[in-house]
Amino acid sequence: MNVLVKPSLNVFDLYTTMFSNRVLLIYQGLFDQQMIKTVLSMTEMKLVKENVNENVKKKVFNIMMEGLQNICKHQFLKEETSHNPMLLISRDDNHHHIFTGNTIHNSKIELVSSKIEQVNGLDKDGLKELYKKARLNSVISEVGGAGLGFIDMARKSENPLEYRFFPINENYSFFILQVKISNQ
Amino acid sequence: MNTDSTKKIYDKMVNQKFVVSLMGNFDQDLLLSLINITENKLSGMDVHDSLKRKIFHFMVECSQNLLKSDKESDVLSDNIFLIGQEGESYNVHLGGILPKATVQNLIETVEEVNTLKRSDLRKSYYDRLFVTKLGSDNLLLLSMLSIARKTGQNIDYELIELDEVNSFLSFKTSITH
Amino acid sequence: MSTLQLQISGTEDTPNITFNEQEKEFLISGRSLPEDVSTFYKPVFEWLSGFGQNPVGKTTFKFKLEYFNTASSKIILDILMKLEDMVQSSQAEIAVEWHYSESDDDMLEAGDEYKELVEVPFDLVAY
Repeated sequence: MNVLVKPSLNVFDLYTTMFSNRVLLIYQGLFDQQMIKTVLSMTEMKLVKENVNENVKKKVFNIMMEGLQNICKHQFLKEETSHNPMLLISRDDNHHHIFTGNTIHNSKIELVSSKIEQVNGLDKDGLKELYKKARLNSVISEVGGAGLGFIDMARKSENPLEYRFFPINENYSFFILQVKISNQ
Repeated sequence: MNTDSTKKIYDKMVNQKFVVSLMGNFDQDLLLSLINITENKLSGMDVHDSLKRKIFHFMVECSQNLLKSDKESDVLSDNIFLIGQEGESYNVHLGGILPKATVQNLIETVEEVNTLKRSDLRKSYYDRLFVTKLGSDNLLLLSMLSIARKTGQNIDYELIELDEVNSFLSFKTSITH
Repeated sequence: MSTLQLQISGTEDTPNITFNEQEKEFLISGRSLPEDVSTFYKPVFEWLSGFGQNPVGKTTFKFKLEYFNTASSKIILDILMKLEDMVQSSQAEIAVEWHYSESDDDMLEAGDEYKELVEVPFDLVAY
């Protein structure tokens, strides 16, 4: 491979990393209405070319919307602006993966973790029940909203949600959520 | 991919101070959205209007003229866009995979434009403008002259040959206050 | 067929075009960065051809652009040259006003440069 790279920066490195990981789309930055629309239509375009059935495409699309809503809710933390939110969609032979990332205050980690663990511990019927209950008790709070989102994503993806918190500083962490959708 | 590998990619972007990064299918709609998002981000960073205009011009011209080609493979149709801060400068990168023949032409044209002195650029631009006929892919040279004029910089690029058919080419400009 | 009027509303990447003989308004404003400039500006050139056959009274063409891409810069030159033709061949009373935002040096410079290229009464107007 012939490399004529100016020493400063490796855009190519980024590009190939994403290419080799079969990233369909990655966006890091702020999310506004227009960007969401753009990201959704890009996803649609990408999915059309994918060799999976309509059901899978629909799930990916819907879960992405859910993920985007979550990002929007949590993207403006005044005190922590060094980490933009992020959306990444990739695939492998068996799954499509949707990753969302956003900054979270450390005080919320426990609650978010327990919500996800709760959701992961339930089967299809259990999730259905939990969803109904959550809707009835619809608490109008940030975390309450996220709770409904997790249930919904777990129901649609039919796979456990994966997640990690990466510390940024003593008050904030970067929360990455991974939703796996089987390609059937 | 998992959360760790995702974080690694994310970190690469954050560490290199990229305030907006996007990889995907570029078309006119995406370009317009990107400009809006970038504008929002830059405004939030108190970037001067004249600087923003230079950045947008680079984005528009690269995306509409420099990185266009008849791409046969959809898999290779993704472009990457990055904008980051380095001290007082903003670095903007726009790149993608292109057929070698196209790349050769692009590099030759860039090198030609980069040899021109500031004072010659203006004349070259208008000379070219007069003879350009629209609709005949003639905009490449004009576009590059325009970028060079507006940014006041050489057009940098990153070039890597991938195989017999394609290369990765990324254009970069660095715009300072 | 009436060529008195041409009205195209501006979008994110195409300018607003208002050519109205009756109201004496001839304005191209906004942003011009379409991918296919030829297609977009076709009606403009058609209108200009029609107008050119029978230019009436004093006409001021106003440009009030925030941004234009390279392809558009070619179109603008073509429009200006068409106006220059009209001035020279039919002695039509045509003038150009190039409006630019006070804080936009690039637009002022572009206006200055176009002014030097064409033989049409040409004013630079700050707003």
